[in-house]
Amino acid sequence: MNTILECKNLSKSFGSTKALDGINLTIEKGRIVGLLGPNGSGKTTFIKICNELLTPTSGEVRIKGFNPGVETKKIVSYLPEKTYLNDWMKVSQIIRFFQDFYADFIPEKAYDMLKRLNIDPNSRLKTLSKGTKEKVQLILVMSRDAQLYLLDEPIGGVDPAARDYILDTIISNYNENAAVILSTHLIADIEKVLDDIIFLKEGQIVLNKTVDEVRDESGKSVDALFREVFKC
Amino acid sequence: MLAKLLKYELKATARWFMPLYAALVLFALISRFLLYNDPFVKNEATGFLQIVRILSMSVYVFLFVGIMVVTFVVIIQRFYKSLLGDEGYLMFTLPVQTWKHIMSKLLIAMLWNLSSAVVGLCSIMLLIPAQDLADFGLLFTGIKEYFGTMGYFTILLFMLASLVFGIIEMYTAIALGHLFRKHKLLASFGMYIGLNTISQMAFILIVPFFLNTIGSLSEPLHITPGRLNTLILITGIIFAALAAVCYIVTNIILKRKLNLE
Repeated sequence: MNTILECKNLSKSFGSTKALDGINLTIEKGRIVGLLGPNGSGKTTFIKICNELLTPTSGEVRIKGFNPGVETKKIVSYLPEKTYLNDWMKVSQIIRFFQDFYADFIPEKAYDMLKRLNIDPNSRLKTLSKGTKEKVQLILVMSRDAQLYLLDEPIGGVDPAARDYILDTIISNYNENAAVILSTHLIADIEKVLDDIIFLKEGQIVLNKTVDEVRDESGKSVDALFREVFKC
Repeated sequence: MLAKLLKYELKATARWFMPLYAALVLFALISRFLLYNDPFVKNEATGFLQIVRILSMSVYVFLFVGIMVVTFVVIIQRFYKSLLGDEGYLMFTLPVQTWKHIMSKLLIAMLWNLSSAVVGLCSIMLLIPAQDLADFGLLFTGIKEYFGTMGYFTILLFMLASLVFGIIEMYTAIALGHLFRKHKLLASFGMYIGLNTISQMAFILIVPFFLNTIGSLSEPLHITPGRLNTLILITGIIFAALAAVCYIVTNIILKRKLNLE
């Protein structure tokens, strides 16, 4: 069983607008997949359905054979595009929180990354800047030994130096038994870490290829191809 | 996992209540000292002392009302913010069943409700003159007189059931309001009024039916402790049943219709 995530005819509507429209998709382990598309193309909706934060209108998602639920949450590590940190804990307390709830959480890894990014484990979450909060969230998410990482805009809000460190972390965290799906519109920055790319447009997959295929077939970088496909 | 949720829920809420409880007891003690301590009273309260007394009592009343408001607000805020706000992204991606999230919120909300009541009552006892304390005892003997020993049990059960319903009713209203795409807060408020109406209807429809079995309507209703207890028990059971329905509805909404935006 190499398949980690499988989508069949997945659709989601909000009222009359279709956010996702008949998505069919298979993601295998060991891959780093870029979910790319302009704003409102359905990237976040897709990731939220995989985390049971939204319920699909029709179709289904299976992660390691399970529909999103308690079983999948044990093996999926999710970074939302929102700040979900509460305002009363210290950084060290939220690490303890993750340790309490996720069997695959490795606190040493988290403390190591905090040190690298100069974040004091004793500071209160409330007092952190927005960028630092995002870093803390990413540290929490990457400190799990999960089988599927779903990262929604992991580098959107952080400075370029931290961006490089985060991408390095994602690559160095590479595990042949895990898959990473990350959504972004900052394509040039992440192109070098991706194995596969999926272009989403108005809730539909318009392209699903490996990065090598894109380069061989079109002779263009992913960034250039994206600009061409989504030309306004 | 429920134990862990309870632990964090308790931690998240204790930081509100503990300082307030401490302050309330402190100001009850200060006020008691200023009110009953002989040296002050004998010396014909000076204007200054009078002002201090009034100040201390005002702070006490302010804290007392504050605790009631905070207890109410925290019930709503912990459910809304921690499950349906941005923090919901964290809570609902934990490998925990939805019903446990609701249960942890409910149990901790009950705990603070009860402790606020106990602390409030204790602070009042600190303030009233010692000879009047005996009146509190009358309350308990009164229950025994009218309801019999069973009364302690049925009244406690009734109070617990109505407390559970009071809390879960608000959760259900918030969850129902969350189903709306716009004006969620307004919708929640409307849902609360709706739920209240439905629950009152339930009482109006069900209770008279039992009144008939307690004593026939044709003969004058003779009130006995047994009949009173049965009536209280029935209302308690209705509250418990309504609470169970609300719990199930809330669970279904959060499990199948969750739409965090």
